[in-house]
Amino acid sequence: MKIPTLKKMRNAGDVLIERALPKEGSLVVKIGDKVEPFAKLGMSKASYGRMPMGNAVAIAKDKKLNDYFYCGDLIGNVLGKRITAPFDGYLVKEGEEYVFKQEERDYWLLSGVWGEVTGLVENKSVLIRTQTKNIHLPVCAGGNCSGELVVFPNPPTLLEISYLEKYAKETFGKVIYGGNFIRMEFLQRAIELNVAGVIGGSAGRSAFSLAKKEGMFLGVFSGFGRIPTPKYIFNFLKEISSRYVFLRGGENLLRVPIPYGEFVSGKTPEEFLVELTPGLRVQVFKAPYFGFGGVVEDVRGMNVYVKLDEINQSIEVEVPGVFAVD
Amino acid sequence: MPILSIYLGTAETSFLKFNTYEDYDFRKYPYSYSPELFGHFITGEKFYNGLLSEVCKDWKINLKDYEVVAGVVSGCNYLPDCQSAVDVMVKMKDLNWISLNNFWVANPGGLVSYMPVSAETGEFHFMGLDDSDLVDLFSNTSIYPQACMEGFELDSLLEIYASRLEICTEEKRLTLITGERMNTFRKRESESVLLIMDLIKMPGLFDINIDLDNTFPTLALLQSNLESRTLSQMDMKYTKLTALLNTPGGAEVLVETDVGTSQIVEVEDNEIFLVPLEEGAKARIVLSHSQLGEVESYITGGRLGLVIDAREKTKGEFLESTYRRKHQKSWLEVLENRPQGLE
Repeated sequence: MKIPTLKKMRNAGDVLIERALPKEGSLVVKIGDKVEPFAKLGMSKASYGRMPMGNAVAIAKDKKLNDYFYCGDLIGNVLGKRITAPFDGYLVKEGEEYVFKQEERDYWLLSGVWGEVTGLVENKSVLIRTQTKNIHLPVCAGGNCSGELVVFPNPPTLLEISYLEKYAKETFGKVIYGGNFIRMEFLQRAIELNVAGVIGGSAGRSAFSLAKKEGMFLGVFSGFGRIPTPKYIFNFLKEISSRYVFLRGGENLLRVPIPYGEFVSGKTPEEFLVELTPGLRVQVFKAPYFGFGGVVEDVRGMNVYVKLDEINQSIEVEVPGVFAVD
Repeated sequence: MPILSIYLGTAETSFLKFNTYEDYDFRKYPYSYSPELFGHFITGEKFYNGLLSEVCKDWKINLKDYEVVAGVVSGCNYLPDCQSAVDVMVKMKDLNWISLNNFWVANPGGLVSYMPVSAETGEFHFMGLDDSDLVDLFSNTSIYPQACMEGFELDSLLEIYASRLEICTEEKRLTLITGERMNTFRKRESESVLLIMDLIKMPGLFDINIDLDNTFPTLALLQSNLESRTLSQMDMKYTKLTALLNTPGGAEVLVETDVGTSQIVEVEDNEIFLVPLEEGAKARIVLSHSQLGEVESYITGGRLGLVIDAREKTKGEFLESTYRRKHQKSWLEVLENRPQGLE
């Protein structure tokens, strides 16, 4: 019989991506320019860092609101705890809350993608035609964000927070792949470290509630609970660690820019039903192997025998507990 | 003109090809369209048109030669002129029917649903369920609707929500159990039978049949396009499950079979008793009951023969999960260890 295919990774040509300056500045490209990821598009002044401090701040002696602080200077006390400046900046007030904002520096907007400039909004943004590999995220919390992708090597439980703190030099504004399962503690720490977005194989529903509440992007490749990332997706992510990527919550996509020449643009075949035969790559959706990938070894009526990648053993599963993967 | 009726279920898709009352066929495809899974590369319309194309190849028919009648449970109308399947099913008044599905229950009295939550909803409150594993399991069914959930929790939820419907208010009419829940009937037979018995609460005698292939919605859609009475003219191969006799508080029942055996069966309060009768075998039953009065009736045996259920199923504690967990094992044992014959 024929079964549906999950097209988790698809090539997309003719993708338009907008790259925008954080504030009005100046652009250095023009329409028709060919760009690569590290090409400079424009520059403006921007404050990179921001540390909310609440409304109960006892400012240090000889200092006052709107003063300048060097990195390491004592800003004041918050509920008995001494707070020092993590960077050069100013203590300001936004509404009732104190915020320590990094001093503005030159911000160079880089392309992040391979492509051609097709449009400009004067002094503000650049529209680039590019091509991407899109990876489907069935569940997302959050809107759109982008950043450099950091891929942790599917760490065992409890080590992923160590990876986050020690192995990622600078997590601010980055997109972190946090492993097969995103724990609440990991997500909480990522929020504290001002990560742009977190992706992984799966997460609990409560993690999505937290991400939504905190305005953090969280997306998973498989579903809720403890479901692993399909191996072929993880293998791809490993290869593109450090690449600038785009998360589109409304479209449930992780867009990974790829160089011209890596695939030939053309119409993607629309066949989504494939014959269930030995050798077919599939994903199983039946407990306790929910989300595991593998290869079909035999088909007997509605029963399918699949050799699983994750545990290197064969199991029997009944249709519809199996989908083909593309 | 021949008719092709298509039912777009929440977890499966069914097809009925109707040429004449003697020439018709069913097909069931155990997948349905999930926007979360497929929406990024294919629309619902293309998905179902693709399935239609495959079914037509299988049947070696040309779709253009058929009038297509489609029905959907809820949500999106992926095919042109899609009707509400439940509205059509409600018009089938010549039998009692209950449609049991993973997330919703319907009968001629209406439909109740506990659609699984998606990532878009806010705080999760689900019948006081705070077990995070269960919460994740139910949430996954919004992405993978064909993933059949097994176990006590799903059936309990079906029962709790079904209690809001008036089920089986008329005795002795053919009662048909249909729906996607029937997909796992054979694998979990005792649990499935117990679920059906728990849903039919009122005292009385009920002739229970099961639609193992969920053909009923396609028939209802077909009926909506035909003037004559489809069901009575088509040889529907429903499985006769049992004659169910609800006698809350207990009863003494005389059972006389057509092969000449006769036995008085005494069933205590809160017990379930199975009287073996071969499928199709006829029997006469006589009893006197506080709520039913004097009853004399003829029954036909089913897969389970005659089931006498003396549990008080209308009391509030019957719906409580603690009560059910306490007694479920003993109830299932009765259904699993069926006697082989009358002495």
